[in-house]
Amino acid sequence: MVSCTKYETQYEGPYSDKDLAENNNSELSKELVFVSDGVVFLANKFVSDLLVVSDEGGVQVASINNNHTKVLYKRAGYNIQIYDIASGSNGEEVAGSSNAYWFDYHANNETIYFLDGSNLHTVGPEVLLQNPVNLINESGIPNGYLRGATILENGHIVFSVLSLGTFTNRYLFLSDGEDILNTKETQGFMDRIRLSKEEDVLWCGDEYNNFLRQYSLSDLSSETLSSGVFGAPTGSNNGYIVTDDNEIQTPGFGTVEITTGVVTAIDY
Amino acid sequence: MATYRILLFIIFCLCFHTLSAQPPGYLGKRFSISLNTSSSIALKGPDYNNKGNSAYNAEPNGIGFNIAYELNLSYVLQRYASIGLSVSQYNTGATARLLTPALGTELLVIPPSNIGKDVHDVFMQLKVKSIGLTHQMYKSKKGGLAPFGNQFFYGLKVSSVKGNIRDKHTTYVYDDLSAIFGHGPLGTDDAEVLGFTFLMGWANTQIFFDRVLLKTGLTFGIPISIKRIKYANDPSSHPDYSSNENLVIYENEMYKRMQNHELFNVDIGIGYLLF
Repeated sequence: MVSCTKYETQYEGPYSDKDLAENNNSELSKELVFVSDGVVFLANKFVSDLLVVSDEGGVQVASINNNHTKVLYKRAGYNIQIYDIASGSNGEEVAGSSNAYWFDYHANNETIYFLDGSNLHTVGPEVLLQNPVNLINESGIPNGYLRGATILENGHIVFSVLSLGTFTNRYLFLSDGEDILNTKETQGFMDRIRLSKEEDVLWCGDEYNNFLRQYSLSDLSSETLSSGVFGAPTGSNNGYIVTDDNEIQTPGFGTVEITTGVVTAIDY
Repeated sequence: MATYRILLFIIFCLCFHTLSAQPPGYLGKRFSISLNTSSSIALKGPDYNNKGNSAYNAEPNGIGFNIAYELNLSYVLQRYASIGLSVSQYNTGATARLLTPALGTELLVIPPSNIGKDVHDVFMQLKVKSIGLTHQMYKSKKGGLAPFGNQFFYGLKVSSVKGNIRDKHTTYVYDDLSAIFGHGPLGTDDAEVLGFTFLMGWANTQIFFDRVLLKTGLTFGIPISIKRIKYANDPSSHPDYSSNENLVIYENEMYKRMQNHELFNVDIGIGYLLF
């Protein structure tokens, strides 16, 4: 008879709530770090399920490495702290970094770089031709102020310089560590420079003008302005943007209001 | 004297009902055991292998049959009456549409009133185990004499229905969130209902070789009530009310499928007169 044919699964197969429970309740990995009112938070991609990394206060900047295993943060007057996400505790600190005002991990997830005055320092496996390197000397603008920098995987450096004088000029430089390869004159006060994981876009914060300035690394002359103060790119066309209303715009999952205090840094 | 005659007459009438010129049963044999099958075409829902008119995939899917296997013990009470105790089992299929609130929506900028639900179309395989008690009345004018001949029967049947979801098709309202969060539990594990059915029907039993019984007949079932085993009527027993609603829907579909199966069956059986 026809009905003797055994049933063959047509869609998703047998189901039981017992099998679903583990998948359904599994935690999302922590991928986002931001600083709010001096406190460092780790969050999932939806900016929820917050984990406090440091509540000692006094933190302005925090960064996370590309494989989302380590967080860097720094309290005023102290060295940069390295927080291990897996163990949930602080490990080492970066010696001699008590004056650092900007820092992050290189794409190799091991080398840490930080800005101290006009100098770019690295700690860990060498990625620069020289270490440290004076970026103001590199820029050729003796009265310039270094605003921010990032190191590409190939060891090239993108950094922004503010030149104060009769006219205030702002520049974005691409250097190989010895020579300037490309220059972009901008209208923004470029700081909090963040690089996408694929290193195809660069985001710079312009808090003074309330713009997020986005650049293609293949062509620094292309500049895209977005509303926002600063941010962290997750891909070519999206990322996390901190607005002047102290909200974090997520890539595709709406906007999250941060009520714990003013957000001063974000990294993905 | 008149009183004595009246009393004698009453006693005679009573004896007429209690004493027979011939003992009940066939050649004095009153107890029989039989194996029967009750079958019907799956019209109101799929069968156990998803064949039938209302198959899960909504495409023409052949003819489905639901077949119940029954063990029956029968005892002749009187010349024209017997009682039977039966246990039976059959498998069948059913479908249901369940809903769960989409997960992760608290992360979206959507008013709670606009949040949609994920839809789950499920195919369930049911196993029904029953126990029944019937009374058979044989038609003397039609040549019936317990345990053979034409008979009318009626009785009560209690069925335990259990199911498990054999296949599922989920339509997510938010694909982006579902890729991360999946869907909420359906809350249907270990569902079970008890169904009470009033049975009635007509049958004919023939005897061969003074022992072998061959029975054919038609059975009609009338649903009486349902008892939920998992307390689906009590929301407080389920922390997630959405799962409780799904359990109610699931149990309703199980019971409805069993009811539809019991409505009409064709019986065929073979038995043996023991003693």
